[in-house]
Amino acid sequence: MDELIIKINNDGKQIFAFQGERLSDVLIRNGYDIPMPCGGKGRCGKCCVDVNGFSVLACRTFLTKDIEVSLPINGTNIYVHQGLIESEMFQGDVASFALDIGTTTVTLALLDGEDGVSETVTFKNPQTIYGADVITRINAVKTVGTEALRKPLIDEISKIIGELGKKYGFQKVNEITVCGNTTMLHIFWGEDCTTLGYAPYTPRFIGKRNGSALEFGFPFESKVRSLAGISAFVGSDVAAGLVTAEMPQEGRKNIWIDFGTNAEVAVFDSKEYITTATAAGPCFEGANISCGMPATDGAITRFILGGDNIPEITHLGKEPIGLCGTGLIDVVAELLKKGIIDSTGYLKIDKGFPICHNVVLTQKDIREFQLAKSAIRSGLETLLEKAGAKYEDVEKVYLAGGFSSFISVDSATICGLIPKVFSDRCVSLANAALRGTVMCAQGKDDEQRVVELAMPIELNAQECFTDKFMEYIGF
Amino acid sequence: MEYLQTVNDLIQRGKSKEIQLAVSEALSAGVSAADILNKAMIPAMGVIGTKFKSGEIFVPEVLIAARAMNRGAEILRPALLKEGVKPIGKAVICTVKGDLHDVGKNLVKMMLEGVGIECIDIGVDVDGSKVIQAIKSSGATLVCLSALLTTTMINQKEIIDALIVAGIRDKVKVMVGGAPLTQEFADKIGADAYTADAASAAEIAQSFCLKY
Repeated sequence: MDELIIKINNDGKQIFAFQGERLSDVLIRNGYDIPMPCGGKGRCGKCCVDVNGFSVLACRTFLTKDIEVSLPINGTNIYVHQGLIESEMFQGDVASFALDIGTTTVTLALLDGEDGVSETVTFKNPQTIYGADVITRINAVKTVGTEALRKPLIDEISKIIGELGKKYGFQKVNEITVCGNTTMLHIFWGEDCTTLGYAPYTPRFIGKRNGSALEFGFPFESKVRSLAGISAFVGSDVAAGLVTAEMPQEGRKNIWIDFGTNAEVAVFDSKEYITTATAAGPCFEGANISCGMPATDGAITRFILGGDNIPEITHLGKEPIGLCGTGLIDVVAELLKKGIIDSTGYLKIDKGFPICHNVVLTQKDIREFQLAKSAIRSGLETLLEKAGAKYEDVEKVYLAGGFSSFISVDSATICGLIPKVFSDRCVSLANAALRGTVMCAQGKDDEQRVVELAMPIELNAQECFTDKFMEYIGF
Repeated sequence: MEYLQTVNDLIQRGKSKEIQLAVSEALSAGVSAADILNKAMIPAMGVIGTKFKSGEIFVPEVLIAARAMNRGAEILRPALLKEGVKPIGKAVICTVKGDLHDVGKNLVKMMLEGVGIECIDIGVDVDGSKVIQAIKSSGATLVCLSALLTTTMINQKEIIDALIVAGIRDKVKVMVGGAPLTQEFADKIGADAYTADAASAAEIAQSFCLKY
C-alpha cells in the first residue's frame, strides 16, 4: 500500500498515513490532540481542521493523497480547581494513592502518609478519543472491546506513578483507592459495561471491590480497591463526594448538584440520600454549542454585559476562541437580564449574539442550554418533591463537578439552573470526589455510610418529571 | 369565518381553557366539524410547526398549543364522527427497546395529531412484536420509532427487521427520530424517513398519508 505524507503546518512535521485512513485516527496516533466529543460521528463539528485551505471535519476525512493540515490553536491545558492542599511532605519507601477516574479527566493523588496529600496529577482520560460521554464509551466498548479502552488508561497511570516514584523516591506501592462513575469503573476492572447502555441499565457490579495491581497490568504490586457506587448512573465518585458534604440540621435537607453531561443530583439528610442522574447533555463542556469548548486555553469563563451592552469578557490563554460552561451560563444570564433573550428563550437578534470576534451565541445554542438547564432543574425539583421538601427546608446547596468552583451563583440563579432563593445557600465543593476518596483511603471515613442510605430514582419513571421538564425549559 | 379565526387563534396562543367553549360555539353556529379541523386547527398547528422549525418558539410553546388542540379535539370528536370525517392516517408511535425517554416521542405524537393523524402510542421500551401487534390491530400505515441513546438507536433496526420477517414491511412507512440520529443512519437501517424535529416529522407523515 502507498504511504501518504501529511504535513502539519503548525509545527512543520511530516507524518505518514495509509490510503483510505481517517485523518482523525492518523492525527491522534501521532500525538496531536483533536477534540472529538461525539466520538468521531461527524455530528459535533469540534474536530474541524484546515486541509489544503479548506475547513473539514477530521473524523469525516478519509485520505487519498498527500495533504497539508493546519490544526486549530486549541490549547490542551486542563483548568481544574484542586481543592486539595499539597504538602510535598512525602517521606518513606511505600506510597499510597487516591485515584478519581472521570470520564473527561483523571486525577491521581499521592497520599503523604499522614493526613494530607503530597501531590496531585491531573490528566485527560485517554479514552476521550472515543467520545466525551459515557454512552459513547459504551458504544466504543461494543466495537473495539473493553481492553482497547482500559489499557491506555492503565499505562498512563503507571507512567505517572513511575515519575512520582523517581521524584519522591518511594520503592513500593501499598494501595490505590479508586473512585469513578459506574461505567469508568467497569472499564477499569475490565468488566463488560454494555448493559449500562440500555434500560434497565444493569451494572455488573456496584459495591466495593478489591484486587491487585499486577492483575490490572500495572508494573508493580499493590492493593487496588474501588469504592462502592449507588446505581448505574450515580457512581462511587458521587458517593465519595457526598462523604465530604456536611449534614443539615435535624428536619432540614441539603442538596448536591454535580454539573456534567450526566448530572448527578442528591437531596439528603442524616437518614436518607435521594439521588438521581439527569441527562443534561454535553452543553457545559461545549460539545453541542456552536461556539462551545471545554475549559482549556481560549475559553471564555466570565461574561458581563456592561453599559451600552458592550461585552466584558474574561478568558483563559492568549485569545478568546469559544465559550466554556461557566461562560455560557454568564452569557445567558446577562442576555436575560437585558431582555435580549425573552422568557421563552427567544433571542431577539436574528443572526445570533456576537460575544467577541468569531464567537457568536446562536438561537440553537440557547435552545440546547434550555434543555440542559431544565434537565438539571427538573431533576432537582423531582427529588425535592420525593423528599417532601420545600425550598425553605433546604439548608445548603453543594455545587460539585469540574467547573463548580468557577460558576457564578448569580448567573446560575438568573438562568434558573437553581432556584433564586438558594443564591445565599450555595457552597462550591471543588474536586469533592477525590477528596472523599482520600478520606476513605486514609480510613477517616467510609463511602459505605452514604451508599447504605441511598435511594436512587429513575427520572423517566417519575410521572411528574415530564411536566416539570417542560415547566423549566423556559426562564 | 370569525369562529374559525377564534379557534385558530386560541390554539396558537395555547388557551386550553377557552378552546372548548370556542369549538362548541362554532359547532352550534353551524360551522362543520370538518371545517373547524381543517380550516382552523390544522392551520394553527401548521403555524406553530413553522415557528418551531425557525427557532422562534420552543418545545413548551409547542406543547401548550398541542394541548389546546387536544382539548378542542375532545369536543370536536363526536361531531367529526357524525359527519363521517376520518383521520388522514393512523400511526403507531413508540420509543424503542432499552430506552425510556418519552419527551421527544410525545412531542412528535402531538404534532402528528396536529395534522390530523390518529396516533396509537404504545409507550417506551418497545420491541418489534409489540409494534407488529399494534399495526395489525389498528391498521396503521405509519410507524414512528424514537431513540435517544446511541446505544439504543440500533433497536430501531431490530424493529424494522421484525417488520420484514413478519411480512408487513411494505404495508407501512417507517419514520425514525431522536437526538443521536442522522440521515445516514436512517438510510442504513432501511427507514423510509428521518426528520430532525417534530414539526418536520408531521410534514413528512402528512405527505405519506396523503399518498396512500
